[in-house]
Amino acid sequence: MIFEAFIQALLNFLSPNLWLFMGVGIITALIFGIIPTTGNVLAMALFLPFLFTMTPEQALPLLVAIGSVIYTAGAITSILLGIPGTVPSAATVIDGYPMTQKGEGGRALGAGLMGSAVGGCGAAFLALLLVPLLLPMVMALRSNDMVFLVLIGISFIAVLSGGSMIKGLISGCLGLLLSLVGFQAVTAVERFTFGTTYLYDGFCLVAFAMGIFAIPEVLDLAVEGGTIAKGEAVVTKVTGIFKGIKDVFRNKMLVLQSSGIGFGIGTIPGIGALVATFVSYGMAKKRSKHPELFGTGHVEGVIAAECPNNAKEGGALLITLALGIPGSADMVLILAAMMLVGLTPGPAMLTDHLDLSLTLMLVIIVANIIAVIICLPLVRYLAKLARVPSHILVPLILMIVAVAVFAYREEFYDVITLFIFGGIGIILKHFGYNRPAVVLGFVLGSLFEQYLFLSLGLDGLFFFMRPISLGLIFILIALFTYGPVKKIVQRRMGGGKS
Amino acid sequence: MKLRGSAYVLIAFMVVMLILVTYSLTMPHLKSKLLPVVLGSGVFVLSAIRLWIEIKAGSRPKAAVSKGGAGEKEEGEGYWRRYLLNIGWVAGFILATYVVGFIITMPLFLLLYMKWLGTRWLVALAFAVITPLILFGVFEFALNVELYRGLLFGG
Repeated sequence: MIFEAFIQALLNFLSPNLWLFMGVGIITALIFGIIPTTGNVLAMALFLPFLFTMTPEQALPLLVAIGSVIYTAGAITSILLGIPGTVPSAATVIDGYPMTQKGEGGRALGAGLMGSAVGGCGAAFLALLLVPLLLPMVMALRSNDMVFLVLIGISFIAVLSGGSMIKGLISGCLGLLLSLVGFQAVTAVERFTFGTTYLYDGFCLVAFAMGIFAIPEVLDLAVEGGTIAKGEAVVTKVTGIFKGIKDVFRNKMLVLQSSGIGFGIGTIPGIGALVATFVSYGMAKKRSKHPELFGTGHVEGVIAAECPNNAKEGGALLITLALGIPGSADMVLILAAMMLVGLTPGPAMLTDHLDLSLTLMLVIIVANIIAVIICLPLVRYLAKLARVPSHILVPLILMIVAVAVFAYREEFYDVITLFIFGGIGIILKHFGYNRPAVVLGFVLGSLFEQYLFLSLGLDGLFFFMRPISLGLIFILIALFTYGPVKKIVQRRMGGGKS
Repeated sequence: MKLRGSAYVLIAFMVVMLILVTYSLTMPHLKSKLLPVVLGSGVFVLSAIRLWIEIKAGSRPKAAVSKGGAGEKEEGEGYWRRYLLNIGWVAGFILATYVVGFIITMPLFLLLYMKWLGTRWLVALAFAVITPLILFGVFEFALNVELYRGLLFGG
């Protein structure tokens, strides 16, 4: 089964359509990765309204390509201008920019871009190898277990993404509540529609997701104003770039360690690429023969920061496809995209759509290679994109978002929904709530309710009395109690010492 | 005792959840009201706990901001004023589109909003002409989607 699916995945690459959509994703990622404060979430969200015109084999490679290589481009402005193009690229600035200031910008770029590609490809390859191990586990899951898997997914993102745990949980519950609007699937009772036919099918997912994610980012850009990146990029020499590429292959253990950290952290929902890059950087510094060089413009620092960025995507995609638990905001959007193209996120992706899942992992590998091939010769020109002023970007993005959301269902109320949730997204963002948890709750809410009532119908009130379900409940309890218990223990130990 | 903005948000959540739970209890079937009641009550309780923590804490906590929502942003009045002005532009755009449609609103919005944000006239004019043309071409011709014409022009 796996072998046939793998052959089918390779055959999918014979389709020009896949290359076209993957190419669009790569170009989009490079543009948004370079322009600071835009990022992968905005880049992916912009395509949501267009997914209705695409098949799963077109839509998902496009989005996965964006997520896979956006950090590759982020390295360019981090190194040349000292400004991270994407949030996780902040670690690259620590050594990348000093290298530019020393005249070694080309070497830093070569090391950063190649490190990203090697990390991304290696992690995707590892994900491919792990699929046969995960498959039996996934096939053992029943609706009872899916109830708790959904709760775990929302809870991980709510608790581990940073900030207040209570606010994270409120966010997840809000998302679940918002998904209940419309006709209830089992009883056909109208819930919270207030007699409006527009709400019979619930809120439009595209308008909701774009409102919550994209509008606050764009308005923040408008308010902050100006050009994020200032100053001229230092000229990079081709010879310097190849030296950096060689550095990656000379530091094999460092690349392996950093990519492994990225992959591992990617499999844990809620912990994003930023944590992966700084953990990797810290480990590399600790294990280096010359830790004192880190921060002064050391190529090992650049490699350690860039490898885990893209490696994280392989781990996150594997868990998202296998269990339906997204690791981060961009994976939440991939889940949303799956629903928009008619796929059910979760174990079915590894059983009924294994070839598509394997195709997506191969997309990560190919996209990483293509991104580096594009970036290396065009680095100086791509860096100029970082200086696009916000007063041009903001109106353009708002316009495209509004028209695209309307075009999804040709329904003007979707545009109103977009901006209403945009307003809610602004409040959530500025008061420290967890927007990925809200969107995840919304995306998985109806599935959660279906699994819950199916389980109750089949096994009654004690539907959770299965080994897998009990294990998942244990993980949930550990997740919620770890933080408070740790604080109590630390307080007692601190009190004991004094 | 002066409450912070975040406290008002929590109070708003509690009020909304109270209304939601009360309304949900009137639904006919157990299966239709179970999740709204449970989740609504959960949010109410969590909001109450968080509100109690914030009132007890008293002083404003320092927090770093990230896209995932790590903490609260602290901005001055000028920041929120600029925010409200930008929101005003967006609201104007929606209203204008609802009345006269995308085709008329797009170029006007781009020209005027870009100029207000600080773009030069020529650049704003160029974008105001080119962008709607591209969007019109992509959506109406390539994707066969009729852009909203507005109340006045048959939307």
